Amino acid sequence: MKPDDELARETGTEIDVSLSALLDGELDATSAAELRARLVVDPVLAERTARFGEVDGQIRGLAAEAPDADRLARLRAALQIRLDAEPDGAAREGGTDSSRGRAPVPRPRRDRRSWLRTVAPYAALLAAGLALYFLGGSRGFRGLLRPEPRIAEIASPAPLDGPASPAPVRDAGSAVLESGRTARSTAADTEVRARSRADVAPDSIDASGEDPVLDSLSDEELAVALQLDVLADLDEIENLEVLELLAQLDAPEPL
Amino acid sequence: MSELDPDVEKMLAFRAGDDSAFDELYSRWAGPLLRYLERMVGDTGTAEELLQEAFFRVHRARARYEAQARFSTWLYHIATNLALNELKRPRRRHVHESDDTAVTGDSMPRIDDIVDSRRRGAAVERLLDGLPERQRMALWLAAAEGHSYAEVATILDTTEKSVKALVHRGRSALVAGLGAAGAVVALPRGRSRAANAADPTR
Repeated sequence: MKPDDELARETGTEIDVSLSALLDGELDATSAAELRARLVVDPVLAERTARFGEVDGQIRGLAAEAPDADRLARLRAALQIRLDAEPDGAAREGGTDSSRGRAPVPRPRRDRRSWLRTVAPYAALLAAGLALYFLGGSRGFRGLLRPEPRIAEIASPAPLDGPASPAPVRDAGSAVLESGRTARSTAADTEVRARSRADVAPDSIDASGEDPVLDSLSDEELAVALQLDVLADLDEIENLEVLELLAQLDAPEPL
Repeated sequence: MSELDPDVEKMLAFRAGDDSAFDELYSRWAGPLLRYLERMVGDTGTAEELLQEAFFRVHRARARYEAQARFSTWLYHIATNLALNELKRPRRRHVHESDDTAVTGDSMPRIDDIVDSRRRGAAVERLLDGLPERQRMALWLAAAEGHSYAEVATILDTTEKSVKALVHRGRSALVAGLGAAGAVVALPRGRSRAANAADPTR
């Protein structure tokens, strides 16, 4: 073989490109004949051709290593499974394809009926909720669960010895408290109020109208007395304040 | 030319409803195409996936198939695009690290390693894997598969002139790698990475 520096003279030259094309059968007849004639008289070029031929032979040797038949059969079976499983026209997204045979990637179509089936219960629930709300008037849902207290009931003081009748504070409070708790709380509330009225003489109520018994109870104690379920509920605490305020209004007028 | 290609006739028969024609095309081309894909992506499992995808697309495109070229040209065009897309994925970059670079320096095996190789074919295989992907594809398609430059140009979406240059550069790189004892295998030196990227023939 010739030294590389000698061969390098030919590398990258037009004749070298033509030599490569000759091996691939890509030279026209005239150019191929001229190049073959030169190979006869140019040992450097002949050596170069021999090396190209050797490389091509090695590449063809790699290509001649046929894949195992069982492997190809397994791949064919896998392909058939995919062909059977995927709808016609489906193809993996990604990669370009020839415009002559490109298969579009289908988008999954949603069943409108199944969509409606999913949404319909929620829509019906929402409609029912709105209907209940508007039927309840300005008090919303509470208006449906408990009648609107009349102004007269709120304004008129309850009789001191009338345990059966609901105290005005309860009527007013029911506008604020959850109605579900109202009935349960009424008895306890009445008990507290009866205790306060029994233990404390009417004249012990100070001029400001504040009930010293109620004032002496902490929110927690009052909540226990009223049998409120969730002491930590801030709404309940706020409601207790309202109760206290209404209790003050309910107090007898100072003489 | 298309009308004379027996594989085109099989594809047309498959389009007309002859499912056995598809099996014949698979039997004829699955092996060479799998070898080609293995050589291009450098990973057996990925090559198998791409083979399946290529034939899947052929199957699905049968209704719109038009005999504009040899069947193998169309098939390899599909497979090549799939392989090129696969090579663009970051997780595949390690397979052929020198895809976008000249085959020089650290990106190629030392020639000593190649000379010491017991099998010259293994040395060629390593050198081939080190070529830029389009050089590798062009050289393989022309030298191993026997495709014409025009067909390779169709497969690679380029011109015949570019294919001629790609094949020559790839072949020269392999010759240099095999013949230059004691030197680092290299393509023509002095080419920067930017120059390689700017050269559409690479």
